[in-house]
Amino acid sequence: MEPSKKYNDTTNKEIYCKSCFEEIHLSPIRRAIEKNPLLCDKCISKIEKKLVIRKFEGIPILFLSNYSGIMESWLMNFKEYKDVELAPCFLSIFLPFIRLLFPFHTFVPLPSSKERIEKRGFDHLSMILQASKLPFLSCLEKRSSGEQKNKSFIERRKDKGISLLPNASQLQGKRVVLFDDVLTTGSTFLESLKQIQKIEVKSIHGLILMDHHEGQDFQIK
Amino acid sequence: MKEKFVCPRCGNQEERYIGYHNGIPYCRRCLSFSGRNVDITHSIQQGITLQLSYPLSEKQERVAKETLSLLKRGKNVLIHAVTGAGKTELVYDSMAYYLGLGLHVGFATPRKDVVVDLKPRIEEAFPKAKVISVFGEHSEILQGDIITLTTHQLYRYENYFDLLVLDEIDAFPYKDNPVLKSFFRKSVRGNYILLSATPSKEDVQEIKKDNGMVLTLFERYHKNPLPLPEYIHCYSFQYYFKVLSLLRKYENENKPVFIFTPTIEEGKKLFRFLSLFYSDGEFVSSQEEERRSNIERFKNGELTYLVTTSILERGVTVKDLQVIVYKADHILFTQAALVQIAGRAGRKIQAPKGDVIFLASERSTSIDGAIKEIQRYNKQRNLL
Ligand SMILES: [Zn+2]
Ligand SMILES: [Zn+2]
Repeated sequence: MEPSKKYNDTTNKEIYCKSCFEEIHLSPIRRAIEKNPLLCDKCISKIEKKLVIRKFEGIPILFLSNYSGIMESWLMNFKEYKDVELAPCFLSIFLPFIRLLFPFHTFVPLPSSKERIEKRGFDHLSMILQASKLPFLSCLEKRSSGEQKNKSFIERRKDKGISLLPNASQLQGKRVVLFDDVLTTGSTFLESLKQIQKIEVKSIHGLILMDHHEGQDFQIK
Repeated sequence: MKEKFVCPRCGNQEERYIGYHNGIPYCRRCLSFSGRNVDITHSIQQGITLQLSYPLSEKQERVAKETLSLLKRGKNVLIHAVTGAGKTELVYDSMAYYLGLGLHVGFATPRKDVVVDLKPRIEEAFPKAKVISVFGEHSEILQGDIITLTTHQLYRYENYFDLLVLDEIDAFPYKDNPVLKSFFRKSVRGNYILLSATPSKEDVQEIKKDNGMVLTLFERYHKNPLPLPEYIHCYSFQYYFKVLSLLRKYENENKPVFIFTPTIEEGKKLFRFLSLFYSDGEFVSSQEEERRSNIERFKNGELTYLVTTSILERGVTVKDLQVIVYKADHILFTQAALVQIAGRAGRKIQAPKGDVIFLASERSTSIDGAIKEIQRYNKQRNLL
């Protein structure tokens, strides 16, 4: 499950950008602060940095970027084409900021449905957190759509079938950050939040990679 | 030592493109090319014949015949034909021959727009055949008698084509793309025909090495010479007004105009200025959603001018078209691009002439080369 270990960490070898495959030429500053550079300057500059905190259902959520550009294509390649080498790229440039804002927090990836995970072969959000070396706990589960067949359409829309796993009790007294890649309608986030609120946690925040929850796009949907 | 990983799909073995999932190597270079493949045992309908409603010119006829006889001898062919020569028609005879034998025939090109335009033309020529088009958002049906497709979709047809025609080999994104080239080679199990108006030296060398021959056709279908571009010197502060005065002239003569700009940025800026004076134009680029509808409006005469990047340098044919190349000395206007652009003008038999104006502050080597290349074609067209 550690996609980035194989190369990119040998010092005397050329290192290549995980995104554009070009050789990375490190500036002295980057050489000093980065142990395992993943991206070239050009690709880093293509990331749309947003860094906005907005409240959703009373929970402060940090949005890192917009749903567009290079991040969007990474997510597509990562999820659809299983390019797991991209896993550490998503959070990489934001990591110092995330660590500063959320020290001693436990990150909880929002759940994908079991069938999705099975089809893909991995849980993409857990993989991002793991590749970014953030402390996390996968303690939510989402039923496959097949298991919801006996419910009515309305029930299905209301209930996304998200529930706590037994290990969720470990979160008691912890500071929790709910993590998702894209916030579109917020329904998965909301239902996950309700489940986590059943446990006595110390605090809850949200961390979203890409914001898709604004402007006309959202209104139309 | 572990054995070196070679991608089974695209042949890549360069480390930078190799990723690892749970310790198992995979190729990152060709990842997006995964999906359904065609059933290669598919057999096509019998009795498909060519029914062309218009005659070929004498020289087209000759090239078409030569192409087929080379294919019959197991050779590959590169046809170097000037823009407006009627390239597509040159391969119909060969396609008909292969289809008659029940073999797999495909027609590929790098650009989706061209595939969309091509399908009805092929259908008209082969009315009994089921012609399908396959491109990005349109890849549900893979089986048919004649497959028109983008080079991106060739990966679905591994070892499939007995005859594959590849048009516009010098166009983006096929040009210089090793992944697409490898899919092209893998999809051909018989022979292939390459079509180009501006083949590079490398293209010519490559086909000769690959059991191929080059055929040329430097005469336009209507037998008139190619319009010779005119270089007009322009100081940088003069550009806008120069374009404006040319536009006024053509508007008075009721002639449609293409204005090519080197970049999208330049195009937008220029159009913003021009639209203050002439409202019946549009800016089109690969990024515009409405580009197809704007091109349609231009073709029907609703619009009189289009400002565009190189997206229109191929394919669009409009009667009596005049061409202005804005900042023709820009580095993005290569010699081949300028020859392509010049080829937009004077294509229709009813209006075989047309201005092609290179506006630039310097006569660059590309400008010079393009003008000389067209002169050479015009000189040779009668000799060959
Ligand atoms: Zn890069
Ligand atoms: Zn590959």
